[in-house]
Amino acid sequence: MEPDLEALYRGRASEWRKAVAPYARDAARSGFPSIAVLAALVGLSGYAAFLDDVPEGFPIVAVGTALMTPLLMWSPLRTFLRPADAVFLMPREHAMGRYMKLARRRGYAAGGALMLAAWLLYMPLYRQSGSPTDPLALVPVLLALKAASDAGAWRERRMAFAAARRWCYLLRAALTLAAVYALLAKPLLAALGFAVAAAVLQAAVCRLPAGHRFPWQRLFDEEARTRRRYERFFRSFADVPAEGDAPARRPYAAWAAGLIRHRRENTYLYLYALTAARSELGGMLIRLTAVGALAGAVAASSGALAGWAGAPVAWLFALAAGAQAGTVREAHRHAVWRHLYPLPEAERGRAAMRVAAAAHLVCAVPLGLAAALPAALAGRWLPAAAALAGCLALVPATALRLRRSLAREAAED
Amino acid sequence: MEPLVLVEDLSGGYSPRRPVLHGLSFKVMPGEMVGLIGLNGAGKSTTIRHLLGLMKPLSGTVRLGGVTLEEDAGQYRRSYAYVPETPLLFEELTVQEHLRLTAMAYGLEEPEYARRAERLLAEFRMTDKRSAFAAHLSKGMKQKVMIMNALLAAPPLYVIDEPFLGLDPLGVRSLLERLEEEKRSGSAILMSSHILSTLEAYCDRYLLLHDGRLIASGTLDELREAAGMPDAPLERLFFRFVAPEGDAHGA
Repeated sequence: MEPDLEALYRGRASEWRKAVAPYARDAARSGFPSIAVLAALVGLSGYAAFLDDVPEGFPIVAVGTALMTPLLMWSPLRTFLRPADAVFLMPREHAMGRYMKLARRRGYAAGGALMLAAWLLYMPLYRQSGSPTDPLALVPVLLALKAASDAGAWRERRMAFAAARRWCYLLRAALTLAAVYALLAKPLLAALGFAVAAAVLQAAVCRLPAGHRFPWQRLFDEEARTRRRYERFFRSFADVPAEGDAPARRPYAAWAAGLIRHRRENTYLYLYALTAARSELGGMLIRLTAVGALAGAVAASSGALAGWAGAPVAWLFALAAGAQAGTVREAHRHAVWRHLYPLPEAERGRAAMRVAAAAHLVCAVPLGLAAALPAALAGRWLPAAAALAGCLALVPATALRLRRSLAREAAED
Repeated sequence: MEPLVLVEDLSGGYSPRRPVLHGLSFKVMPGEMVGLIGLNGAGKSTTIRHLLGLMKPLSGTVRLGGVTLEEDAGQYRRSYAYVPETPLLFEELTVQEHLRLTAMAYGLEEPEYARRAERLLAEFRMTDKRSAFAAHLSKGMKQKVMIMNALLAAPPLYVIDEPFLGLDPLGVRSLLERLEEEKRSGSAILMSSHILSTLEAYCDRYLLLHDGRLIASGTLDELREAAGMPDAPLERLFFRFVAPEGDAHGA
């Protein structure tokens, strides 16, 4: 009996929702939504104040083009396809249109909703541009443009060669940008004519490269990437079982492993250094440092609390970076290599601690400096020194704590 | 001369109530290539796991290089290199970094590591893949990395489980040539495979496992004599031992 592919898609979507529901609850309980809502409210109030007094000559159309183009280009697609489908669904390729119709409809709804939300936010600003077109009249046009862009994105997914895909993507981006600019700045009819011509040109050109009838491998890869992104997001709030992150090369961080002396006792040091640089841990530390440095700099620049606002922000992020860096000890703890290769087991804990401390230091320095420099420039030397010194002091303190944890874990092992 | 592998009366398995191996005894001498053969489920992989110390014997002993794992874990681990049926690699390390990690683990000096690594990369046609992540290699290439790791360490004993799966013909030839070379230099090789014609061409002795028991062992001539089949190839001897009534060739 042949399975109903639409029911299969709905079933998979429902299973996915059930699987992530516990992590979504953890994320909701973490306070993240409150911070996000607060940030949105602060942003909206700032935007409202800006709308009351838009500076003369503000590039409203350029801002609108820059805002709407990526949203029109973004074409999310959840297919829930897995590599095993090469065995089970590939024989039904002729009927996959029904399966994909739901996926594409859902992707259009998500992308379209986000685009409309952005358009609603932008509309009050757009009204001040003196543009000839009513912003509400542009809503159906934008929705049609979004549908055309999604069709172009699907065509790109089907392309057999990466170079052709890249060129068609660039063409789509350029034509979308031009069409959006025309819609915002020119009379509607003329702009519409241009948008239609652009869509026809895009469709005609991108029909030429060789393509797959159904891009199985591309959809498998895309779905795996999407799952990894969700996994990374939820892992910030809960312990999510990993499906295996693809390593990132990060030569700017991995070069440090090459400096480690070629000696047997450094085997684990070498392994952990590369793991910290290339695994998701490295990505997480980079993101944490970037966000922390920005938050610290903004808080310090505000001058709040007599210039002391930046230091605690920097300390908090440095503390979090230390805790994250310490998790390197979990990597390869149960690797089979430990039983097959003569790895120097006595050095494992010390190597993990050294790598964690080095990674922590690399994060703590920019975090401390980002909070210290604005305070120092404002002549507030004490908070500046405290921000930097506090971040640096956390490094040995966290390393000592990690050493105790490692000793406890070694006893358990 | 002391055997590199000495297994005495080994019984083992995943549960004490249901042993998979029953009283195995065999040895592998330096400069010897021994083929471990048997049907699926005969106990080949379980035997190898016991040799590697991944499983604890229910009874009997396993000595590698003269010591048991309990007596000297360091010497025990350094005495062999293992090539598993399924490659075990770190996804975030490149081919070259795996080689360097192995060299460090075995205490190989850096100049010697560099010399051997270059030779292996060239021999296994992996020079242009040296900077590729393990995650981005094909199954055969991953297997080549495991083989190169083993050959880089140049230990006294090689334990190799189904090495030909996924390897291209040039890779198979490079591997066999290098194993011959290692054998001549005094290393011992214990190799499990279902490719009996290849084993027949390269191995000095055979261990034939069936239902967890060693039902035959010895050189090709000794197996022929035991089976009463002079001049028979290894494949026919194998059929005779494991399924006497089903020997399709009916000798």
